[in-house]
Amino acid sequence: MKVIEISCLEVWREISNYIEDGVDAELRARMEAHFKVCAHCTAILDGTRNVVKLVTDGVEYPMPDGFSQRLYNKIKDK
Amino acid sequence: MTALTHAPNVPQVADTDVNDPKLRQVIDGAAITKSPPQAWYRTMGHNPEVAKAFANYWDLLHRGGAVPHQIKELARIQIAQMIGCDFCARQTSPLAATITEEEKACCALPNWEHPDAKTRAALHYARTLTLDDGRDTAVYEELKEYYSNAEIIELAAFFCLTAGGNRMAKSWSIEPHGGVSAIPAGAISIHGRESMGASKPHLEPTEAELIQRACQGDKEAFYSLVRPCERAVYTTAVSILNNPEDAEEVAQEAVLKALAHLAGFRGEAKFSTWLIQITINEARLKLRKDRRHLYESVDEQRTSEDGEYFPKDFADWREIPSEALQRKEVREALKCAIASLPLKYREVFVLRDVQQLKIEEAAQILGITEGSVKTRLLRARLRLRDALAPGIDGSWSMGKPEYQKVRPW
Repeated sequence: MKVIEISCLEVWREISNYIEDGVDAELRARMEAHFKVCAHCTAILDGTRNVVKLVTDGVEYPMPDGFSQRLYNKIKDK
Repeated sequence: MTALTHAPNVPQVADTDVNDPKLRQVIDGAAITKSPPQAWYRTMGHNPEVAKAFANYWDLLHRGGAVPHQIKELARIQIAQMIGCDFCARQTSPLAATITEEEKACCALPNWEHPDAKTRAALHYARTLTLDDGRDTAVYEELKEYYSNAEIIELAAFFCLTAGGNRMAKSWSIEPHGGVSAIPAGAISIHGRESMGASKPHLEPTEAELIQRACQGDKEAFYSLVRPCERAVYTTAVSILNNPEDAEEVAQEAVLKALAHLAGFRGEAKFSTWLIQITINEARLKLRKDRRHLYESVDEQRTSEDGEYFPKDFADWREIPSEALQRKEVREALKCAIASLPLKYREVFVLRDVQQLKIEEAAQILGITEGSVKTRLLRARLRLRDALAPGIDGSWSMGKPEYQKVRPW
């Protein structure tokens, strides 16, 4: 099957949906073919994917000590 | 859900018993105008003179007058939510077709602020007139910026008729299709959850049961609802405010607002979705109130997305070495990069990527389309990559060979 080429600009537009598995099979094939030959877009893809991976543990936003207890007290006292 | 079904307090008049031609006209007309629906006038039909006079007055205020119908319809939905009249809140006038489902859903939030200043002023007035004594000076000052005295009279009369009408409908226990409301006065709507509850026996109380108990004053039940989402509430607040103390204050305020307005929660979304919506609104209010000059406009939320994206560089960040994840400076850089995102991107990124909510949930919470969520998410992720990748592959410094390699222009 012939895969129609796709530009870097189009790849950047869809890169987030690609990570989410939110593109159709035809577009996915075109993007994958593009990544094979374009180091720059592959770098963007890897970097973007890594950003998403990095934040999933939520450690950037630790809950303050005693948060739950203070919230519970507020509810109880209301 | 049979326990919730009960006979109407005032039955509807059967079509065959409607002999007054003008009342017939009013009832038939309601099939088109829908707000109020036919069931309303069929119930009022026991007293045709009152029904006809009400219809005239309602038409004058709701569809006539100088204030745009759209604004009045939005206020009507908000008042119905505040009074807890699920029946009225579910109706929408076809003349107000541009009111979105998101706007309708947002009306249910105790602290929602409409992006349009003129609409916002009217909604503030509707709120104070319905819940307080309606004499809030600040609300009047805001109102007078956009409305003449004649329009204020129109709004006041319309709001009072709406609030009174909502109470009537609630007390009659009517349903749009002529049936009986499954929601007794004082209880809450749990549409969409009934089949789940009926088919799955369970030991733990369901969300609907906890809400019902919390509405009756059970604080432990309310905390059971809040506990699973308290981290999400805090994360949402701190990601918007970038300050742990402010975030805790806002999180507490949001939870207390949810408690105070729980009877108005319609159960069409999950409780956690509703609570996060309230939290976001509360955090935005705090931004507006305290630190407007330091932050980007919160109203920017409604503007169109930016133009085309072009990467700043092509820094190679193929793998994250496990030790890099643990490095304090990497985590700090990530935190700073997220904090420096424009608010509209940051909100979407935190909901979707940090809190792992579905695209549709993020859209519902923010009152935007799923398409907008995806566009903002793309921008957020690419901006964060731009901010972090060159630092991680060591190509920040101009002196290093990597610097030129990743910037071929």
